[in-house]
Amino acid sequence: MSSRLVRLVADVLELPVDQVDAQTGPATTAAWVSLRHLQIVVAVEDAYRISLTPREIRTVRSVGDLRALLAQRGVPE
Amino acid sequence: MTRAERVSRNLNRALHALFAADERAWLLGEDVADPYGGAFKVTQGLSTAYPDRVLSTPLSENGITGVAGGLALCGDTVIVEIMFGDFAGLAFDPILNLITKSVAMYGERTPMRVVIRCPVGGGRGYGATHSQSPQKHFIGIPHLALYELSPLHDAADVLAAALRRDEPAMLFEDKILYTQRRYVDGRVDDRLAFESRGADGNWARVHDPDATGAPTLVIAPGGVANRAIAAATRAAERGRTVEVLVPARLYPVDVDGLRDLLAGAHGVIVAEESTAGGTWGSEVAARLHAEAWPLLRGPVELVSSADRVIPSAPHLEQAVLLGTDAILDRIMRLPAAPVATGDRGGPADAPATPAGVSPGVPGAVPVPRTDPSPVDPPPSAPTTAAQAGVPVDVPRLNPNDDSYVLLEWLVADGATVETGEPVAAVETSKAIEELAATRAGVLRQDVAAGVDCAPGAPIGRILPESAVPAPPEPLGSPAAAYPEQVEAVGTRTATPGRPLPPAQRRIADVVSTSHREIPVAFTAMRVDVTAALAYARRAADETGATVGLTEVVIAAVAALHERFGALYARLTGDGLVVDAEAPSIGLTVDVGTGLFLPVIRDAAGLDLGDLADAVVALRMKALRGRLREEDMAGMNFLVALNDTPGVTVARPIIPPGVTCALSVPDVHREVVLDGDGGVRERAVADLGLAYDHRLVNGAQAGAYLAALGEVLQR
Repeated sequence: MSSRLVRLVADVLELPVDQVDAQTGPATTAAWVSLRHLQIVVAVEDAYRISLTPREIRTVRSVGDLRALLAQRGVPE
Repeated sequence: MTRAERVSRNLNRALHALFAADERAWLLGEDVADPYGGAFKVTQGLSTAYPDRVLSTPLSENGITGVAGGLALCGDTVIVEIMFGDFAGLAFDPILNLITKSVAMYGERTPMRVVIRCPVGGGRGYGATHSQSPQKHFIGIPHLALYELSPLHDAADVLAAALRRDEPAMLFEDKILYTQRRYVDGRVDDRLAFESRGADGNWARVHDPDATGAPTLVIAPGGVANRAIAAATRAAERGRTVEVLVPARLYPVDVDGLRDLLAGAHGVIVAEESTAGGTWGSEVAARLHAEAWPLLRGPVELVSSADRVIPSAPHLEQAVLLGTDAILDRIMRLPAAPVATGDRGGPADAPATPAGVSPGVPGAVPVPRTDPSPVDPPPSAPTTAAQAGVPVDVPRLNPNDDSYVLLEWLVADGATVETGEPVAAVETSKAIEELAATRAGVLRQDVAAGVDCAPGAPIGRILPESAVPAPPEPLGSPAAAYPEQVEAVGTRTATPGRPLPPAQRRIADVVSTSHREIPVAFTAMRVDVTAALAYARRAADETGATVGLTEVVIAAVAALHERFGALYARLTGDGLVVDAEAPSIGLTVDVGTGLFLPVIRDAAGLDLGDLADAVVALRMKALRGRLREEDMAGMNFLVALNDTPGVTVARPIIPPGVTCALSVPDVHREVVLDGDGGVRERAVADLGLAYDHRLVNGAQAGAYLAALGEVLQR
């Protein structure tokens, strides 16, 4: 699923696209540290012109969570 | 003679003393909080020491002064900083109608302890709206006293005198004085001494104790005092005795302490930097005429700046503003005093008019030089001004910068430019500005891109095309008289390399300052962070916050503040150690386009969840480019994250003003022997502590890291 979202996360984490999937998150990927987490949030906000609440920033733990969030907002991935 | 502190430092110290003594003191102003500490750094350290009472405000002089009035009505003491006195006009209404009238408007006397500080005066090239001396506009408002900072008065005494009245006051501070040193121990120089006179030591009298002639008295407020003293010295070389009288309080005018001097004086001149007309000087003259006319040998004379808008160009500004030459001219135009006192008048000296200065009348002004200056090239010089071209100067683009970076030349060396065409880009601390050609011609680059350049300094010149040889004949006869230009134009090659990006340059400045000023030592210790990581995971689960090793380390660092106060203290420029009342932990945030050091204030007072939220908030601000100065102010310990995968140990840079920086590298795993001979795996990090060796020794650093390790293993 080399979607725009995956490419965006891979870009922030400086990982090859094929190493990023729905399960990718801080629990599976060493590069996803707390600062990178926020960089991903900011990148998503900028790319999809949305704003995440502090609670959403906290609870997003994977690419899959980000995808669900976009779907919930009705934003095409 | 003791080497005295600078005037700005003296005032800063006075404000610190005021806040230490008065827990109801407030300071309001624009950008007064650390690390900026005010446009002229007068309030540095105050917001760090008194964060709840030293407030950077929105850009509203009217609002600031109105709030000050409200606080004063509640019985508080308020210092207001108007960033430039020129903007005091925006505060005129609350001064005129609120804070002054409140003293007597409510049926009983109401103390209104407000001091409005106003940096004033020119001489810095700040131009028409940032260089004025507006003192005269505030004279005569009931219950408002006017004071002026001087190199001859202790700022603490002046502030105390202003507040002791329980009425509002304005304190005018000549910007030129800030960087100058005070006079102390009763001496100005080898020849001149000074003494205090009048109530509260209001007047400083600068005089030559060995002089015998009847003196001319020059009354000059603080900003003009040094110019008057310089004029007095030059007048002495011409046989005149001059004394300079400097008041701390301008208004109400107080002539106590001067009567005996007036009785023996040969003449009195009031010198001030404002424009003529309705001035403080005319108020002084009126008072002296009314109260001491029998003592005077003639009317008081006034000298002030030109009736002009103040220009930015240094040579024009110098011509408009009152300078030493104009004061000297006025002194020398007085009839010479007889050595034996008692006679009025006497044979007049030939006026010794400095070149280019109009003798004029009271209020007359210096005008630009029109005669050849000694430094001008002689007529036989090999170039004419026109052929030498016009310089490409770097104007003062930002009043707070002492230097800029010539980012790039926008036009090639030797290329033809038109008037108004941008030729160079200069980076200030706040923006990138383009410099336009002031005339058409051929650009000659004298400075390579990437170097620092000072405001006012030439970085190149624009030559008339006639002065530049055609390329095939570089040494043709028209230009043969200008060998330097011939060699330079069209043949210069740009220095290899490129300038640092702006963000990296700011980092470079901090790093360079740190290396220059802080004798740093470094200790590292391997710490078992297995328990800390587990704790972070539990905390994340329980609080929902983003908690990791970073947050746990910050919490541990905050917790150690009480045991290891020296590591959080600050060494001042005077060699004093200032302890931190609470741990305010800076954190490195590298957002790719720049490194930021936001600060978590009073981190010991936060639970782990709140601390983690604070970290998230600051990082988000950094990533969104919304960090403000107050987010990065007040740091007394830095936690530097060097957790790039694979980094095992890092030696952090200590930001100036901080004593210790702790590096947190990447966590790695290792196998260790248990006490019983078994093996186990653990997560470890080699924490590194860089410390200012003037304040912290190696044993303390080791003990600190050991204690930190213990906390992290709990």
